[in-house]
Amino acid sequence: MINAHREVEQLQQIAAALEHQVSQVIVGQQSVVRGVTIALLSGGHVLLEGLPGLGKTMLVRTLGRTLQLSSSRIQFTPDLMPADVTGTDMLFDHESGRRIAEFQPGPIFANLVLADEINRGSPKTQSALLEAMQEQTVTVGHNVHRLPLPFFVLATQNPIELEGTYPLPEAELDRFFFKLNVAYPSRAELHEIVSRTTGPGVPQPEAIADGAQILDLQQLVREIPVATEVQDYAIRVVLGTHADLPEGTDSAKKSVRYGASPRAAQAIMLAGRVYAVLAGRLNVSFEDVRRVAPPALRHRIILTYEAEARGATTDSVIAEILDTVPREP
Amino acid sequence: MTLRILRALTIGFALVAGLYVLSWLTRWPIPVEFTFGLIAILIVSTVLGAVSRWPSVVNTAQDADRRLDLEERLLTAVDSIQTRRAGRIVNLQIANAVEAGHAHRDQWRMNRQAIRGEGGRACAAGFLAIGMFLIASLSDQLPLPRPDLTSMTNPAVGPLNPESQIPDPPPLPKPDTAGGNAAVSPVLRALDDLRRAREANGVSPEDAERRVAQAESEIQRQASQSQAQRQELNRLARGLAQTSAGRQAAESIQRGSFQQAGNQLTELGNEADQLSQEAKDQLSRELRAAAGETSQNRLLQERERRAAEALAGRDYAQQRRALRELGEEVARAGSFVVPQQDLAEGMSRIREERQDLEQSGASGQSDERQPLSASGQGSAQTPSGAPTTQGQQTTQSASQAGGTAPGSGEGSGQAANGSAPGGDQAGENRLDSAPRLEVVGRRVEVPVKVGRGTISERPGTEDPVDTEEASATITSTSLNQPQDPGTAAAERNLVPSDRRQTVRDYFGGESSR
Repeated sequence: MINAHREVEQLQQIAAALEHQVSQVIVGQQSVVRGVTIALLSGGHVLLEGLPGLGKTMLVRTLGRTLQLSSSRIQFTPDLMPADVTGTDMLFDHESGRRIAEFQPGPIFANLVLADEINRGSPKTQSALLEAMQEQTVTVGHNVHRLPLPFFVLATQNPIELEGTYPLPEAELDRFFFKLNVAYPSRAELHEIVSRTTGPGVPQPEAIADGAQILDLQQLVREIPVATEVQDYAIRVVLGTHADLPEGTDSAKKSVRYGASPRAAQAIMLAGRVYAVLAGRLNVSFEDVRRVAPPALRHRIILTYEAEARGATTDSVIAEILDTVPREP
Repeated sequence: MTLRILRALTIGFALVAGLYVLSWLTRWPIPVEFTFGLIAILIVSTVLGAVSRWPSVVNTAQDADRRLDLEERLLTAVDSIQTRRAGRIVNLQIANAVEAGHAHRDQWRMNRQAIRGEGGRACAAGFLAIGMFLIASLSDQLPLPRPDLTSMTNPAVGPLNPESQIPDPPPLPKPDTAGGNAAVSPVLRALDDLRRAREANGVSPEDAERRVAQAESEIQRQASQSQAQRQELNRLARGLAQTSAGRQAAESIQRGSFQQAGNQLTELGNEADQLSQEAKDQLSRELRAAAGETSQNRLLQERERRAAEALAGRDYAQQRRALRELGEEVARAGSFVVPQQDLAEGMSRIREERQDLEQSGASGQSDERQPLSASGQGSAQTPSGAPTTQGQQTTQSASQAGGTAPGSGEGSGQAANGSAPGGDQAGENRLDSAPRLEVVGRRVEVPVKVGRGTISERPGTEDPVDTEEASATITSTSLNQPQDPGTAAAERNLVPSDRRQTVRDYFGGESSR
């Protein structure tokens, strides 16, 4: 029990240090940093949505340095091919004089992968990430290549209203653990950003953990107990997003075309565990579920045209669902 | 559980207070048993509800988490134990839950504060309920104004609070004594004192005559007052006798048991809710008619009228109160009625004193009164309204002492035979006696009402025949009966004339035997 206590404390310390180090570089965006931390410790991927220039790439680079993980960056463009992401077999002249096909790993073979402006890539290229994100493997020809662990994809996308973007397919979206909205910095935060980035010295983050520790922490998080009632609440919230199910809420029946998948419930429970530990608890509360539900659900819910025409957003619908679903059945 | 019971008490008391406010406003009585029953039902149902919904361990843990702000620590620990979940973090979580529970014990005091707060509210509601209960129960005795809701819904009933609408008439003067023998006992004592003084030669004839006259005047006053009350009460008794509900009280009044009649009327009021509306309406009509006839006792008239109005309505409390007040007034008015025997005894003593004065020759001035005592054989002049002793006959022809005066008959035997020797001679005697009785110009009530006519014999027979003469004779025996003076009839010989000789022969033979 003492070891477990120490491990929990270590997890809390690493999470706190990670957030502190990131905050040395990234000004503000505490909720985004907390979301990224939760997703990292949960073993999930994050989709960051925000306008260009808000520090999304900087955030990923900082994480890589802090965690002593290998990182790569993929700039998605319309002409980017799947092989450019996953890698491909290439012919090499062997010492024996024969030509052999050897797999050349793509940029996806890294612990931290920044898929920058992922919605600028074609759907075909976007789909190249499906297997990697879900199975942590890449299949080229008849060969399956395992990705290094921990494997963490941090994708950024511009708002889909911008030109030259391809909306991510639902299957791709569902593979993201969280979708975090990167808000524009406030005036004070912008002052701080300008001061830090235009001054003589740029703060450099320190390494606080390595990949092995992150994997241990990911395993430890899964041992956090969850009461049946709390888990039932999370499931009822997810079911409440379905308009065609008996558990569907009135908000879902009015505004939701497709509800959240079971991955949403998994994400909520995992994220709830990490959130509880970061809050100093060893159990998941109803409030934890409420807090982690929006980033876990917002990219998994497809609104109806009428709801969009009405100006409803996924966040507002999720808030209504959370208010509707009772904690006790 | 405690909190729920306290809450049930608060709700119960608040309900009771509300009901009593309603009761106070509408004057609709609420039995005390109903009040206690309501509170008991609320508490019992709360306890039963709490027992039937006894929380499970998980629910208890969840409730404790909520109250102690433990963020589902206890719930998770209990769930881990129940589902036999194992693991190092699970054990750590259970320990953490226990520790957090201990650390948050202080917040249990907040729960106790909630209990205290709820208890305070229950006490406040209880005091409110008790206060409203007292106000509703004692509203008759409290000078609290309250809206007249019933009169708005049932205008025929009239004002709900007669006390505030109808001023009480001034009460009749209290008698010097409590009635009965006590009423004439001061007169008798005065006569005893006079006798002793005369025997000791300590009083002059003039002074003795003056004191006898005073005693006679007092007897007259009592007789007059008694007659007035008697008449009013008899009217009420006649009305009450028309209904089955009031018959007992009517009989008591006619018997002269006025206190009992008052109690019976009060009891009738208490049981007014058990009377049919038809019976109440009938009683109301009779009481209203009695009030219309009552003229001298204004308080009795008002009480009769109020009782009539209350019985016409549907307010039980008002009916109970009105009949109780009527009963009290009957008992009070009855206390002014002096029994005929007492008055007769007083007059007998006065007559004896006068005879003694005459015999002792101390009445040089008492010759003026000689015609009075000599006017009838074996009879004495009686004051207006005063009866004679048994065996004597009194004739009264009018209630105005200054105009007409009672005469005296020759004897009961003659009266029984239908002769009426009063007439003008009696009237003269009365005129002569008026100054001595000091009733000149005063209204004098007589205890009997004259019959419809004198009784004369049918020509050629001894059968009695009523005439329409405005005079009648009545025996002193009938005066001793508390019957209605207006209904007293002259004696009649019911034996047919052709059989009388047979009867006389029979009794004559019987006496000779």
